[in-house]
Amino acid sequence: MAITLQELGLLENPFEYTTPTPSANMVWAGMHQQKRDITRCYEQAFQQNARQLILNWGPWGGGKTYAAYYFKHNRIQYIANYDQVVTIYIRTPEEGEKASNELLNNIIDAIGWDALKNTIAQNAMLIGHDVLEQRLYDRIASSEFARAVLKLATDTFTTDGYLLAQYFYNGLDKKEKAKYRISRDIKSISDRIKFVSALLVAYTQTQAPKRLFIWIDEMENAIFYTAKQAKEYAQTIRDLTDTINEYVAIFLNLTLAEADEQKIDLLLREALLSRINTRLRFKDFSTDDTLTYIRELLQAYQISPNPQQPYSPFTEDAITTIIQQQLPTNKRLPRNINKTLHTIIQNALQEDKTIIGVDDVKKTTTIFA
Amino acid sequence: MPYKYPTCIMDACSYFYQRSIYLDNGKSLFDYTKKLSLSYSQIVHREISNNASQFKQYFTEIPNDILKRHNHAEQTPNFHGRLFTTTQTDEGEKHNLSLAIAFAQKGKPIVYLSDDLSAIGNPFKEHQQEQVHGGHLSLTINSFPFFKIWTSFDCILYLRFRRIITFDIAETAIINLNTFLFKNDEEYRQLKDQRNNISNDEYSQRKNNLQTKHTQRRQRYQEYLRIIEKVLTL
Repeated sequence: MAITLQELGLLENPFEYTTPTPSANMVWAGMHQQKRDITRCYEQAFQQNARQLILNWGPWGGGKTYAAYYFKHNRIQYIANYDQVVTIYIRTPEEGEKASNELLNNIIDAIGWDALKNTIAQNAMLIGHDVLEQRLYDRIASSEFARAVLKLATDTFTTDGYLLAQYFYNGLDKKEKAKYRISRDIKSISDRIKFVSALLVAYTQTQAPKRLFIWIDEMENAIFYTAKQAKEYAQTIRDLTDTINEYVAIFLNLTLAEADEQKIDLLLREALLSRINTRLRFKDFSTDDTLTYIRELLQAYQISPNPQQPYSPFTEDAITTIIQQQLPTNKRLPRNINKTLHTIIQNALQEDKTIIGVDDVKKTTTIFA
Repeated sequence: MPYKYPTCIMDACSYFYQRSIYLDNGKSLFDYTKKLSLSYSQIVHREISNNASQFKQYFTEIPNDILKRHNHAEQTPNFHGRLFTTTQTDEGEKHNLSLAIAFAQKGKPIVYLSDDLSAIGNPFKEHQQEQVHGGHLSLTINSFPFFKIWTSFDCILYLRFRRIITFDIAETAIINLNTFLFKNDEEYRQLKDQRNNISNDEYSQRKNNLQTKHTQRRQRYQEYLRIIEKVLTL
């Protein structure tokens, strides 16, 4: 009969190796430098209004997606102005065809048309319709789209975002355009960027403007677009950054085992390279990094944490053995560590072990031979 | 100078790849390669003419207009039967190889162009200092070290080196060829077919392994291109 995790002294198995499930209780273990660097980007967004484009790069399973989820869902823990933070998480489409349109659609989907309409209407009421329109015009430099966003969002006959969505995806008919005094259709990709930027700016304009953080994950997919598609995709991200221009930080997550920064530049388009102002590297862990990561993760899930036994239910020797024998130096990444320790814990449960020692560790087949 | 460019003996696979790679100016890579002097063995010529529909079926991305006939085919040299036994596989590569050997014997500057790495071996692995992957024809190829073996990537580098294409076109060609090879990689096709039967984690890991392989090749050829550029800009 197998024992339970609680009998092992744990609330849950700390080592989940599948793509993280977004929740407000995500634990950040180890990787202190990366956390500090990302937090600094968030703080800078409040200290300086200028836009930021940040490149996060590192190997597969290195924690980039986890970082995105963590900062999206645990905002209360890392910054004083957390109620002024709007974080959007999207992925780079796998196929290059229409990737730019998909990117913009994904940004909208991440907020939702109804939320956009209602928040923009509230913001217009809060700071005044004319003031908001002027702010929109100042940022996106298009009076037509500034007016269109406000007219459609503040329309009192509808309560959902249908009109905004209709205008964005299909265009309005003549009667509706006359009613809302809109004379311009959304035709080109540049129009779409301006309109989405206007929506995002209007969405974040309260008395003190909110800061917008957009995480674009899986940028490596764009390496396999054709040159033309990749250029258009990079230009869309650049134009979006330039159009919103203030109070925005865009994080690009790029999975690449490459250690040489110059080789990364070969893969990114000039449009993005010239705008990237911070590069954060997620790299393989040293032995100390691995120990810290395991310890902090275990401590977060121990029912009764005991400083004398930081690795409980593992003995310290068991952890050293795992690192030496089961995790080759080039495999010391969060996902691999999680996979290994997850299996060992599951085996211990099956075998009714309440303390996991060296012998128990040795019995588990090495995943990374 | 007797020859402006070496004669490029091209196999069917490379022909179809190069006709499938469209560049930003609306031309295909083949539109530039054909400026070199091209030759095909009879069997490759037949493969190109007859097997077009097979290629079309396999490479779903190949547009219809590439399926055109070609008229240059060279006689297979007499020694071919002594060099190779007839099998169902790699026939085109074998005939092209005999042709290359016959040309080299006459002192004609030639290159042997093939993208079938299972036949010619994987030159990229050699660059990576991994175990050199020998193709089915490696023994014969290595017996006649008198001409270069090119893949289409090498062909792009040469086109740039001889200023037949600009740097931007060469880079676009490398990116698009790499993308084409990734999308048509048998492993990637299988992975996509299995997408709903395997876990997200496994899919993500296997995709990442494939992407790493193809990304490294692209980076390597982009690096080569930059080194060539140093000579051209002197």
